[in-house]
Amino acid sequence: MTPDEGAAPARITPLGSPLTAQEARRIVSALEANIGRALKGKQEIVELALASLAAGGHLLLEDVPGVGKTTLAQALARSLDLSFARIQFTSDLLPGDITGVSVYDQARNSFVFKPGPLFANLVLADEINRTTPRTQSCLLEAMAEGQVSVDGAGRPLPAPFMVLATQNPHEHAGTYPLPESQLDRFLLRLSVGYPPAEVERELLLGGGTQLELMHLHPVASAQDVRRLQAAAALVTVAPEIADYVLAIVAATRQTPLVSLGASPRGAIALLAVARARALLRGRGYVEPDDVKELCVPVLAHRIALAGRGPGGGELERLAAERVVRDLVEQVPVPE
Amino acid sequence: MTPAWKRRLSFTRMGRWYTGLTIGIGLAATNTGNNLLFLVLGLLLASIIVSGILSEQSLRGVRVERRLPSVATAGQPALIGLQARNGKRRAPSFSLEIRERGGDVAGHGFLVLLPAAQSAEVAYRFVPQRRGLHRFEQIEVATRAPFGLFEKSRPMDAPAELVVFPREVPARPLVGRTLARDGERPEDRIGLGLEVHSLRDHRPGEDARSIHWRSSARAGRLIAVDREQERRKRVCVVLDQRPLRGEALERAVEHAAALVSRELDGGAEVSLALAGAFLPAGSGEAQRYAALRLLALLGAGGDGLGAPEPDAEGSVLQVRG
Amino acid sequence: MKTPRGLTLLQTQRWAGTLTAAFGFLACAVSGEMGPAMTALFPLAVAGSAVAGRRFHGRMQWGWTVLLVGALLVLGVQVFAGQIDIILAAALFAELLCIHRLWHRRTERDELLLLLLALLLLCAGAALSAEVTFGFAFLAFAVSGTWALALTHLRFAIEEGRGPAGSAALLNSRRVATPALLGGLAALAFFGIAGAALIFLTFPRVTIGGLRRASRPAPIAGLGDRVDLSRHGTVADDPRVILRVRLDPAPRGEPRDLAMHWRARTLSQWTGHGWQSPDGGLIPVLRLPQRPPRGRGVPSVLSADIEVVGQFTDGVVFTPEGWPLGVDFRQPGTPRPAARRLYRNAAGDLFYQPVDSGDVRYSVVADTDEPDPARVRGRGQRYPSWVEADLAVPASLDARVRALAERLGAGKDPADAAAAVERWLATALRYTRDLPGDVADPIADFLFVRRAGHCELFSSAMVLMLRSLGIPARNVTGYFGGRRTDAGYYAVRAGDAHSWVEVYFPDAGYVRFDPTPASERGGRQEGFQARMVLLWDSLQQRWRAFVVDYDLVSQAQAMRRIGQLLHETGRRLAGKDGGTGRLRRVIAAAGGVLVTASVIAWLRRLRGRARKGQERELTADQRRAAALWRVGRRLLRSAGIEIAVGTTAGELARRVPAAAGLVRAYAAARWGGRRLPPRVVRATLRELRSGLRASAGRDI
Repeated sequence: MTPDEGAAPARITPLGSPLTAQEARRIVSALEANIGRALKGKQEIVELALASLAAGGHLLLEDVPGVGKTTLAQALARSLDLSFARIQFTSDLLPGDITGVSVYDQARNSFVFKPGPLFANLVLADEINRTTPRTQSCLLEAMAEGQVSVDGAGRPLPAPFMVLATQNPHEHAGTYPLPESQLDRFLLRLSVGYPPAEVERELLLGGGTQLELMHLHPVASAQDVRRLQAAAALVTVAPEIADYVLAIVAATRQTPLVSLGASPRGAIALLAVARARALLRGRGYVEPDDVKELCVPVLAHRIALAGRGPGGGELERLAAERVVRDLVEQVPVPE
Repeated sequence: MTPAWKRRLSFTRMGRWYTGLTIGIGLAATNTGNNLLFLVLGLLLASIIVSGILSEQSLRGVRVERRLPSVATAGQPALIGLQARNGKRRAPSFSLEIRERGGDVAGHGFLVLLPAAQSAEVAYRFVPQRRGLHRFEQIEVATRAPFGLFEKSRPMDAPAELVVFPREVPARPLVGRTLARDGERPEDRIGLGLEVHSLRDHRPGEDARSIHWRSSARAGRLIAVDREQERRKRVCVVLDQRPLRGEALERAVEHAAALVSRELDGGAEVSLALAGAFLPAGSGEAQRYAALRLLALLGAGGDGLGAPEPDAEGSVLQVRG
Repeated sequence: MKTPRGLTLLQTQRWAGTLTAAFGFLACAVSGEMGPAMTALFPLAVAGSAVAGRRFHGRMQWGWTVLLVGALLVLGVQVFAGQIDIILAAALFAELLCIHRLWHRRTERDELLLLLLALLLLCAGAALSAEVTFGFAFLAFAVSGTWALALTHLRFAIEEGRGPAGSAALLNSRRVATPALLGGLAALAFFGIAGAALIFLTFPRVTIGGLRRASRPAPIAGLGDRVDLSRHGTVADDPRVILRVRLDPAPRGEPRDLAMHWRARTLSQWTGHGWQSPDGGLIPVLRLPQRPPRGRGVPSVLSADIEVVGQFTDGVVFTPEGWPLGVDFRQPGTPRPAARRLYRNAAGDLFYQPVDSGDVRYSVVADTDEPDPARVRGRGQRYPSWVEADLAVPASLDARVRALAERLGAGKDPADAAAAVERWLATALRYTRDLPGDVADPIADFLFVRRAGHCELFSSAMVLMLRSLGIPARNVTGYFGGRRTDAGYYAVRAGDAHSWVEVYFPDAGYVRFDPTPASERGGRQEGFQARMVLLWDSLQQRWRAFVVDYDLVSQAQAMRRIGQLLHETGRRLAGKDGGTGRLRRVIAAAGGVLVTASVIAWLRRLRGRARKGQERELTADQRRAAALWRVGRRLLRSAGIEIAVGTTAGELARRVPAAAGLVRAYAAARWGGRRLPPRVVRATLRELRSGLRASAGRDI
């Protein structure tokens, strides 16, 4: 590139123009309908997953196996026309296995980078707590920075890039629980939960979700997702709403029930998801409801309850969620 | 502390004429009893009152903050920002002149309009003529609105200080003795550097970047490379200001500043030794800032101070007056 | 981009300066004293400077200097020679200086000098004229002067603050001097004018009556000392006001049109085709003649305060109906002695001296008890010698006139004869405003040919007929009528000119007869123009009364009135006098509300300060939304719905479906900056109320 070209003023933004609230709503309802076909009776979870996508964040699905974590990830990937990779985390997985490695190419007499499974738009990191902290931190670093460093060179990951990590709270043996600082990097923690009885019955009789998954067609492009993300960042937030977010975060730090309150990143995340969800609902502005209803999935995994160790199981999670829910009820809503 | 209600009032040229004419018309009116002259007098007096009210309205609720540049150098223009904010909810402020009052620096900026609940910044250029401490005392907000008859001003305390670095002059070329020790100096030990110190077997778990691939390919096993610790060139600029006065001191300070800047630009670790003060070796912008600040504030005299104590490890650059 | 229309800041500023100078000049010019040449010079100079002024900036300074010095010398000589007075000379010189500045406007100093010169012109105008037109020029000057001062300040502040290069864009912008800015400045000017009025009212006066130059009203022709009956054309309606009269006591019922003869002068010598006033000079009057002894009747006195607007070159004094008892030239309320003296002529008409100094106001006191024909009956026909002139019958009098007179009045008592002639004329002949034209005998023509004519013909015919019967009579001119104005006085217009008859009776003097049909007396000024003239006159009168003649006495009166008003109010508040308990209660309640409101406002302010972090600018829609939500919550709470601090609007909407619309509107406006028209506020509140009522009904 000549210096003249470098100085050329025209810079094409990779993001494209942000979607309007109506466009966003249209795309999102198509997505919800599409995913809903594969993952029945879980509209709320689907919406939150999409919100996480729109906010450009990563998702931690914490639940027992067999409730549809993988289905959710796959349905999302198929509906979105995005590249999808699944990494099954095991204890012997090395960082290079997910990032990719430089391989010496005899023919060309040079090193060639072989990208790992991380180089996909949508990555399902299954059972993330089964691998070693070293590989975990490699993944989390990639999540935070949007790039991986291999052989001293930074290699950017594709955009959009979203990790759906799952972990099973019921197994303790042979697992490496994620510390709070790492959990902080996940925008949301969701638990899919068992399907409603009638849906389960339907599943039993209807032959499972695999068939549905096979027939899903993409309804949104990568470009749409990028535009959705751009639009989410533009959603209006009144100063009082920001104060409300700060008040909630401050409440988690002040209560004696919590030994470690939510970090500033938690506040940022809460507002980002609130923006995204407002957009998903076709609004160009954030309401207090957006913030309040998202507190549990955004904040519960970011706090450490007093008197308990980190990364506990199901009970731990429920306790944290209850604490957050109670706290939020006591923070005055702006009017 | 200057109270918020304090105002200074002065006449403009038009104001003097206007007031003179008003008094004249007042005398004529009372002398003759001509009511139409009283009417004209009433208009003139009422305009003065309206002018007083409006100018007060213009000044009220206006707050000004000064924004000093992080670095100012003698002889080079510095931009000093005056950030004005109109704290009133509805009423705008008109034709505000914001200026320095008291202190060592004179400057002013002008705002035609400052809308309600908004802020605007004006900046003035200030070319410091000397190094050292420049004090700011008050900021005065003045307005002649709406008629330009009177200038009402409101002084606000805004004390600040700006350290002006010595004038930038070209550094004198170095003499032989110091040149001899120029350059990066390798130390004979393993550390972080560029030069190869030695090769050894790669130990598992070590950073892959330490693998010397060529040797590994040759040897058929992983060979790691250790690199040599490097140390930067270390220079001590020495200035004994005690015998220097006036211009000679200024020249010496400027020269010392030039040396410090050049050595830092060259990547050296520079320390600064003055009579009564010593700045330990360091590099980078922070060091430049510290050294120039020390030089900027260097005063004459100081006979009671001890001689400069140069850094034992560095090469010494002695500045003479 | 669309270029906004309108003037640039620079253009507006220059035009404001020019306008100010023009209004200053106008204030001078309305006095009419500057002469046509100097009056025409200014508009020409303004036009010239607008067209070619730029080319002359700073050029030919020496030429201007010579011109101005020359003008100064000429004016000095004129003043010295007594041709013009010094104020006029100063005004003229100021005008020239002003023109000079208009042609040389570059620097701030030029602009400011121009404004100061305009101010000087205004002052000169104040000294030169007292007309209400000055008032209008003054108002216009106040507005344009405010524009000019503020814009000049703005322009040069910008130039100073930004430098010539930086300010050019702003000065040439058409977005600065917008109608909004000019309107705001005009509002400012009105504050200035209000302040001027206040200062005018309260500035202590030290003199009684102001020294001012008398106005020079346009002379009104008309009541001359001769009348020619054989003229062409029609009697014109002239709506110009010539007398302003106030009657004391006021006429009963304050009618719109006064039925009053305003007597001016006697025309008793017949010229063959008209009348002229009797010969003889004027003699000073110290006391008016005693009225002859009356019969029965309660003496009733009428005082007419007459302000002469039109200028009468002969200085005639108008008297109302009745016997004039006295004329007082002192202005009401002033103790200054009258500067005029009263004269009378041979016929007893009253005149004042000196005549030429305009601005005449006097009051005439008259005994209104007029003898009617019945009361003067039987006084015989022994006439004193000095009425002989009123018995002179022209030799050329048409025999038919004499015959008609004989038929109507022969053998009757003079009073009955006069009444008979008056009645016959008023009923048998027609009134017309058309003049007879050039006829040999206008009286015969009137009585027997045209059988129609105007008031002068009626009165002339009656006089001649009575004289032919040997009854002394004379023709009298004056005005009839008076139209009430909204300023409280009656205006007598030039078109109200009238002519009637006075008949002499021994021991009773002259008694008024008016043969013109009552409905046709005076003028008929009704049209738009006449109304405008009246309006203007009342404006002028008020300007005179309240502005020009405001002095120590009026000030003292005004202050006393204000003091009384305050005192009255205080007493009413204290409830001592007339202030009923109800009034007191109302005032106490109002005071209580006021105090409560201010305490609430203060507390809110304090609270606002306390939550400084939340003290943010909300739009009107956002404020309305917050208020709507507060009302909605109150409604919900009163319906028994629990709302915790942490409860959001959305949660409530899910719990109470009736509130959904309200919550949606509130949230969109409050958080999304959407519009929230009051209509929506009302609709959502209505929806919530009815929803709550319905659910309450279900609960029962």
